Amino acid sequence: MSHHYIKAENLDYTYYGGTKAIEDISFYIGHGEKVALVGANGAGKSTLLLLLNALLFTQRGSIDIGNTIITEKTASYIRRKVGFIFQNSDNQLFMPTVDEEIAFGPRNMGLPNDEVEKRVDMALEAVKCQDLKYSVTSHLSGGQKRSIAIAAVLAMDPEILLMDEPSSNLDPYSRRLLIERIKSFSHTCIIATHDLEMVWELCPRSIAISEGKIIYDGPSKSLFYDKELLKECRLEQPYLAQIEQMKESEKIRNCN
Amino acid sequence: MKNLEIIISEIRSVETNAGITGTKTSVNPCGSILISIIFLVSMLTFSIYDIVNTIPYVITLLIVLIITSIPFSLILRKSKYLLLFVLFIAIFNPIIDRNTAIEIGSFKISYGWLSFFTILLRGFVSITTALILVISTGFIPLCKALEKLRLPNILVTQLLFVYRYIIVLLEEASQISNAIKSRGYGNKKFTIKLYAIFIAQLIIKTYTRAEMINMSMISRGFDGEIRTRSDMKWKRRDTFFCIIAIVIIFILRIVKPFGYIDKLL
Repeated sequence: MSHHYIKAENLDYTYYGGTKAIEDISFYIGHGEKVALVGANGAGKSTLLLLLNALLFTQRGSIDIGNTIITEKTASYIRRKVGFIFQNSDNQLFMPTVDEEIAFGPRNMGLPNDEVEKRVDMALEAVKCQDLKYSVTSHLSGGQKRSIAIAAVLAMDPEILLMDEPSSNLDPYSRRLLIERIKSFSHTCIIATHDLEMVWELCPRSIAISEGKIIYDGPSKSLFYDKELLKECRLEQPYLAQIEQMKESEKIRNCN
Repeated sequence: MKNLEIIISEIRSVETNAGITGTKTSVNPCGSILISIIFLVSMLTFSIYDIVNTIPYVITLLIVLIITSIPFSLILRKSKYLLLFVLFIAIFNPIIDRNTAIEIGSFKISYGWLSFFTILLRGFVSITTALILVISTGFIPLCKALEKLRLPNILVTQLLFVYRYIIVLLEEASQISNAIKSRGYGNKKFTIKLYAIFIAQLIIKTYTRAEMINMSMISRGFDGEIRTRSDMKWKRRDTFFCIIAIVIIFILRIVKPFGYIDKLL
């Protein structure tokens, strides 16, 4: 299972009109790693995820996913291996009912009906939403939509999961459920987010992006303790990091 | 503008209730489409002045509405604008065609008035048949059935996209309209300038959103064909349904239950 890696080298992407979104980005993510992609709005996080899902193609450099270089020819293979959960679930859910929505991907993979049904049930079980199987997608709550969007991707049995702001617009309860679900996944995950509390719980490693460039790649905790770097990324130190820092300084004071 | 939310919720209610009646799962959509077409063609082959033989079609549809428990108010709400269009088409007939068709004592009915009422009834029957078909079957199974009936895949996919795009368009329009209203400070007038901005924003926003939806579809393997559960096996009950429907249509078209009135006139 060690082939579910992502190796990006010298990526560049400029949008039509000249907006440079990604500039000379390189990184390696190993199998099973959960990595957070953090940075301000417009830093290039979403563009990077689109590149990793072969929805956009890098204009320089290369992306190697499990020994397959992303090109237009390999795009459909890559999309089977890499599942992408979009920021706005309303944009992701386009079929009228939940079961049709989840079955969309497996059917496109050419799986027989029995297998499709199995995958739909398994995906719903993974997000604990079995009771929503025949619901109308447009009637779901924000949290339920997010869960179904995740299930729709899980049904394709991807090896790598990309999530764009998975906790945005969720109430605290739904957010907690989401965190617990992501914790239970064994997939290689890349999570683009501003929710550093979630990163604290889920991702031991963080990549910080600013103006299309990587400015930090290392342990999440080190990033959270570096207030200057957080400021540069227009992020705030998470409360959990603040508490931990306070505890540590208290320990030092007690020792003295 | 205030009706946008109502329209969206009505479309959603059709999605939800695409089985108000339970017929969704009980009749093969291919059978429903074929029977609907035969039903309409059999009615349209009557003369434009043959109002007497058109009335049983209206009665049959009303009975279908009762059996399927689709609310009549829903049908009226959804068909009112189309019926206005039909009315616009038919309204000129009494003016143009003034020859007397029926004379009962001193009361004269012209051919124009006969064709006027026949066109209205035909319009009502056609629109109601289409609505019953969509409400009881659901739009997506209908599209899949059309595909099964050899309609080109590209047309079916376009139909599905148009359906999806209408919802996206309405949702975006509703959001922009709310944003304008919330900062309108009670000014109820939508000026031409505001309309121009509204339409421009609507096009930009729906285009962006449609692009995101497209990306999401491509990301999950979309290759130009929308594959849905094709649970369209022809069952014995479908044959039974078709036989009964064809017998009814045969009675309406050949036996003509109100034929005796026609003879009296």
